[in-house]
Amino acid sequence: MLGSLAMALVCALAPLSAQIAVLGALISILGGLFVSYMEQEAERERHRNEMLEKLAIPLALASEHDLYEQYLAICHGLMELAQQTDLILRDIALLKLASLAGQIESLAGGSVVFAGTETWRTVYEKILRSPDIKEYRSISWVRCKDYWQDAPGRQSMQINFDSAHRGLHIERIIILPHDLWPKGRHLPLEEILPWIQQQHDHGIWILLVHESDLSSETDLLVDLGIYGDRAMGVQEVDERARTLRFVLQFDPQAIRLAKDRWERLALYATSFRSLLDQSPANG
Amino acid sequence: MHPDLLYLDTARVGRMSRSAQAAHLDYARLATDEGGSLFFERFLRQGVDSSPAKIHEFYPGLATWRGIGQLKHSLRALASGRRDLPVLLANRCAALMRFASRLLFHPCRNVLVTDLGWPAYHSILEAEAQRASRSVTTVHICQAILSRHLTEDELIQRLRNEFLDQGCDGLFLSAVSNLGVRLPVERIVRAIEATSEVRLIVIDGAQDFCHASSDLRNEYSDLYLAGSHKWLKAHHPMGVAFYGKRRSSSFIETGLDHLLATGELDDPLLRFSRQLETCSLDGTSETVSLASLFSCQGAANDILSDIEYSAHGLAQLVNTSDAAADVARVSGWYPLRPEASFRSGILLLEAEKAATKLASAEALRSGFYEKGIALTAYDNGIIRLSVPEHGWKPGDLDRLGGALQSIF
Repeated sequence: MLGSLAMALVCALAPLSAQIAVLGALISILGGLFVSYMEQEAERERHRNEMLEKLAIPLALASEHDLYEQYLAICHGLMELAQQTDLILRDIALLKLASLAGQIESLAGGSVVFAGTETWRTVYEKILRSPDIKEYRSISWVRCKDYWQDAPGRQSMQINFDSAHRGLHIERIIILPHDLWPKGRHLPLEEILPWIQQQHDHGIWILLVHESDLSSETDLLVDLGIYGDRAMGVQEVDERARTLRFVLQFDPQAIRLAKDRWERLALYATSFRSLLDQSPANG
Repeated sequence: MHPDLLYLDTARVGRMSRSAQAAHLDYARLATDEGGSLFFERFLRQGVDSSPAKIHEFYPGLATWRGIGQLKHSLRALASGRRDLPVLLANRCAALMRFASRLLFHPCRNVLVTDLGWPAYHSILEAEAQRASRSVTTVHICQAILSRHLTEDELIQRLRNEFLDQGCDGLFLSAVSNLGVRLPVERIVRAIEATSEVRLIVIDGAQDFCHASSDLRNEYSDLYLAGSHKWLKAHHPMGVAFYGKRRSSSFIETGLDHLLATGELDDPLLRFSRQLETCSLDGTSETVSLASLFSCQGAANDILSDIEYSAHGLAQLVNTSDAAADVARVSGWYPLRPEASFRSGILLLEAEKAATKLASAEALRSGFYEKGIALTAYDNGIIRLSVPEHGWKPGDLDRLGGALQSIF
């Protein structure tokens, strides 16, 4: 109203040049307001799109009930965390959240890491019992005579035996150091032989390799498992054969590389069955 | 009933031998007198030594029974096996075949067989392959062998090549087929092992044991399956299996113990004899049919004491078969005979007369029985003769020729 009254007074009382100047200023003001409006509208559009994008994530997850529940729990937790004002707490929380984000990204890439724990064996058992796994190939790099013979190891061996009897085809290449299978000796030493024999007796196809034969192919010195076409796992152990880390990967490329490794190692291997065949009755 | 039956059907079921019959009859009398008494149990374990006087006086047919250990010793001797060769006994041959199939598909992914195998056994093998998602590769050689288009060397080469080309890693072969083709199984095994790793070898010796070879001295197989009711002539069916190679003995025993413990292998005699051997009778096992043990011991004794048969067994059978083939040719029947190296004491004849070819297997079998001859018949005018181990008696060949000429 004031603007309209001011313009009416200018039109009635001001000279022509002043009227033209005021008209020019008015047009300029209107132009500026229009440009500003357009910029704000673009900003609102961007904001809307961002909101929609954020909404797409829960929409996509909504059908994955088990994941969506975790998503909601995390969101709820973050909302409550946002109420915390202590700066040190916030710093710690951000560090942990960054680590969590990294783990989730790793899982999304088909990789699961178990560090410093034997709990990977639970997953291992689940995989071996899975009905769609028909074949299991593994490489066991034996560093000491107690390899896989502690309590968790014995339990895992029993799972192997049960799986073999259930019909899972298991083949294992065992890499043995000189002090457990000296060159020139037909069979491995008694410290490790019963462990090997037991697997053979339960129908696991066993192949043996001298560790010293792999001096030029050290990438074959590994503890590895290939679970059908579904997954592969690498176990890192310490000198006492305790698990340091176990990485399970569901990536097809990783599985292919693992199979290639197994095939290359098999070239150096001799079947335990043939060694038994050739050995004298008492040796 | 024919008082003078010419029995040519040992490949189906052997006629009970004299000592097997004596043991069977006296076992029945002992069962009547003692039931399941303590005396019977002692007798079962210790044999005649438990009460020599009583056994010799009242049950002389059982006088050679000295326990399951002695029975296994006799069976080993029949297979020319070493003294400590492990032996399994089962009420049912099919139970041992199921066990063998389970064993095969532990280490093996693809087992090679031929079309000469016993169909029922192959069905068991196929079922296990399917359960374990494994494969069976069948090499078709029957027709080629029977029509003499395959020599022994060619056969061996063919099986060796197929084993390699098809990616096989296990073997299941019939030493002698139900149609009488004798495979050179040891030569086949050696040839394949020269070029491939064979993870497990199972031989079906049902028609081979106490007939053709069943010589296990060279231990070329991991498991050899046999039975007591055909050429051993114990009549009561009982499965027998030999194993004992160092590479597979403990694997076989571990597999057996596992399957018995889980109940997946449910043969009472197999369980009972294993428990008896390992002194682990649990006192809660079901009652086991033991009749086959005693007749088997009697039959084994008869063969072991038949020096002439032991020395010339297969050669004599093949000669006897040759004589029958000669008679068949002039009687309107064509012998379906392979090359000499594949022959056994089983002879296949095919009728030349159209009317005979049209007769059903049952009608053919009945027709011959009415003429006093027991044999096995198939459709399309094919019959199977199991020739007698001591050759033809005077008049037998004339009777056979007459029956062949006059049937239908």
